[in-house]
Amino acid sequence: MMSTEEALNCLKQSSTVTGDSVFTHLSELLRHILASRPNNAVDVLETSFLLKATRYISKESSGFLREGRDPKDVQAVASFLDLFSTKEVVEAPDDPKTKDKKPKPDAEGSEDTETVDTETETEETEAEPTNEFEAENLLADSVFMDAVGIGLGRIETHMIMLALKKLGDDPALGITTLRFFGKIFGTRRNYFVFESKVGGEGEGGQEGDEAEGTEEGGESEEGGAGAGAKAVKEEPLTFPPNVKDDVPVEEGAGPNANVYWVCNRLDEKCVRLPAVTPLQISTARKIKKFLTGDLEAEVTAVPPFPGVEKNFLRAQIARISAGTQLAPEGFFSASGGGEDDQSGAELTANEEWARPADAELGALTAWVHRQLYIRRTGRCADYEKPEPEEGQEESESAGETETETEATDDGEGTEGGDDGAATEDGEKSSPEEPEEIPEPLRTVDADADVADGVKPWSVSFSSSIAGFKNQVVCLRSLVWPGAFALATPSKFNNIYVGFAVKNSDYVPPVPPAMQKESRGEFVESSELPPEPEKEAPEGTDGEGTEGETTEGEETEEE
Amino acid sequence: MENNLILTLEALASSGCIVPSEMRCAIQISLKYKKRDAGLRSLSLWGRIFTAGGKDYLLAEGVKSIKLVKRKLVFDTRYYFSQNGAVWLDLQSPSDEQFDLCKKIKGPFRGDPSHLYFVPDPPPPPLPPPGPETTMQPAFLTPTTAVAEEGEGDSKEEDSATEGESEMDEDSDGPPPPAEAQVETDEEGPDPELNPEEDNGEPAEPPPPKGQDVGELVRLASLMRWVDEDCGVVPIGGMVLDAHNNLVQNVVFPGLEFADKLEYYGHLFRGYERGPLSKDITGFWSLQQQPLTNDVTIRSLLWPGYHMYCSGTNFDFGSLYFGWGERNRDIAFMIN
Repeated sequence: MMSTEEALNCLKQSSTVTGDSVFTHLSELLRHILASRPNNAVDVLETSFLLKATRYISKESSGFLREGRDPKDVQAVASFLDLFSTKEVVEAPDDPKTKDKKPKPDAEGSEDTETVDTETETEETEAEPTNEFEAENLLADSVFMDAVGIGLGRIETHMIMLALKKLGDDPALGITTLRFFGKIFGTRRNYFVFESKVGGEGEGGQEGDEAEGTEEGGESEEGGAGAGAKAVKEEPLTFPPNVKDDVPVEEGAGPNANVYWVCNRLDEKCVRLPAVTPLQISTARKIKKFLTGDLEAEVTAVPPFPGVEKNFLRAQIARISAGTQLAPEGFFSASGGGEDDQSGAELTANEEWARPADAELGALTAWVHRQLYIRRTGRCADYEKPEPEEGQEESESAGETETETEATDDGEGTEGGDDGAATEDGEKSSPEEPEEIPEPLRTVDADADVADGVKPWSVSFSSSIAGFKNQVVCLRSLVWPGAFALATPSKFNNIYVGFAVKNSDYVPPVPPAMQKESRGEFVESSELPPEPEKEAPEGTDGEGTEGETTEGEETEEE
Repeated sequence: MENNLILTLEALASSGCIVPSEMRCAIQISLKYKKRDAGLRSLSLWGRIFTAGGKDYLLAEGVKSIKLVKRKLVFDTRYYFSQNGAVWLDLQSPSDEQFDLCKKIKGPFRGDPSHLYFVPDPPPPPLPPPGPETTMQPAFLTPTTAVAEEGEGDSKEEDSATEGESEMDEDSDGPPPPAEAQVETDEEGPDPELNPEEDNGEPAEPPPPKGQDVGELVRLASLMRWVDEDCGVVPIGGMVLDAHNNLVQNVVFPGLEFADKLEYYGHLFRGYERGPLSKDITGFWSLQQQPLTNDVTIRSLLWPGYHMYCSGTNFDFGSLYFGWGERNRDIAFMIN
């Protein structure tokens, strides 16, 4: 006969496999049954198995043990809490948004108000005045976004507002207007994208509470953007062979009229995206890739993309905003700019704009594209290619295939979908097929259908009940899934939440034209044939196949 | 199986899964009501399909039972849809033929339950399998099936010998090769010179291309099944077999040891534990983990819009599909 102690010792013998013991298992089982009190406890005594299979037994090297101890984790939380720090809040009392924001941290709510009253206290610590900037009332709009089922939810939106404030407050950046562009999912991390106009221009952001009061064209914007560009000096991009970047960049205009800032997490510092080049846009139109979330990641695609992921991201943002940023008709009026060159056109907000009735806003004719159409060249402004000189003949023909595929692909690459003229110009010749350039504020109605009878925009209302007052109207893009425009009862807004992938079939580029056979005379040689040389891999293709074959061999060996 | 609606929507809001407030307001009650009405064990919100017409579909999936029978999981699930969030209507489970047909449909959903999608028959060389014909081998008496049978016979050489007699009743003048060309003509139209002599029987309707109409609701149900099969992500251990061999939610689920590994998540509808995501093609999934909270969000890149979350603190999990209802056909080019 065993003594109780002996019996206990026996029961407490822990398994070498799981570390569990009969004793702890049974006590856990009883605890569980008592806790959950099933009606037929004895019938479901397989609970025992269940517990055994699923109960958590702490082990070495378990994921949970690490929880919160990783210095990286702690740092993340610390920077997250920085967003709620009250010290800068005081400096921008003019901004109504910041006032909205302050009551956020519940516990600190009372403190906040105190600090507002006693401004001097914080001024001591912060000598530099924070930057003043304008922002739209995203928080209010988020309610309307909720109503039509878009956006990111209340909590994340609030975080975004805090991050936006942090970015805008930075005096070194001198941002005048700032708005949240959207969230872009990457495979490993996500991007939060902010859109700004960097200060320095004259009448930039004077349009009252409207965020993008004026859509600045070239000249006045240029100074500010250029100055900003100097601050973030980019290393020159390495271009793949056979790709020439001969189309000049539009500095501070067209696709570069706005500056974009991204961060992976809202508590991180935002990084300014470099200006986009026309070549990057036209290449981005030809490829279809997911973003990874790493700004410096390589973009592996065919045709090769001239740049890293931040350039690709920037190009996608340019395409998305050109294709999907909408405004209600009549809100802006365009002025200036020549017939051929609309890039100089300025958008001015109409002061006396009144929001049309819900039903009217439900028609596609009531909406216009706010951003300029990006042409085949990757520019908004007109650009004539200079005639190739004699010496350049060679390289021109090498680049010909590139431009050729560009032309064929362009039909699906055009952002607004106005690809009427861009369909069949297969060969690139000097008298290029005239591209149909839409007006600066082109109505959405004219966008090309995505399928027969399917408009590129789908209109939805916040309520399906007839006669519901004060509806929110939402336009969803079918071309860029995730792009939304909405008309709130007082204004409008745009947001993008998605993968930054266009809804169009990927068309692999046509392989380069076959090389012409040598027309030279073959002269019989009296010498011995040369030793066969080892073939050097050429270009990306060679590398690609090489990699594949080695991989294949490996798998075969396995 | 039943997701916690509030937690799921809260957790996936940052992925853009937002139910319009009016619908959100309605489903609170309507889902419970429907569940009781239909006698389901669980009924959870499945997703939202954006439609070109603007009237989006909310979808819900109900579970009657998930049983382990002969070492295989047998699902008795029901599909429901709603366009206003309040009224939930049943979706018929698609037959295998309908399911295959729906996989071929391109373009967005229209938002009109009565909309018909036209699915052209595949070109005959790889043998026309559309819908019912493949299942009814014995019925070779009606003229339409005879044509199909012929196509089948032509591609499978050994069949044509055995079935030859029955087919000859229909078109005695044409040997098998022209008959196949005949089918081709019906679909592609301008191809007359291949069989100019055969004009007596079938070619009555050359202009309209052959194919079938599929209703939007069939497509909707097929979509649910398709996404379930491709995704249907559940953390392994999150569901367990009870004493009656029913797969049920594990009330003592202790979370995942390594929540950031795809090995720890399974395709519920593809064998659950035996079908971990790590066995899928590399790059089909995007897994992100939040520091400290250890919340995990998994996104399908094959089905952009499918999001799954697994909380790192209370081990709650759930998934939603919020998208346009189209599979990413170009994924091979898009992943790194």
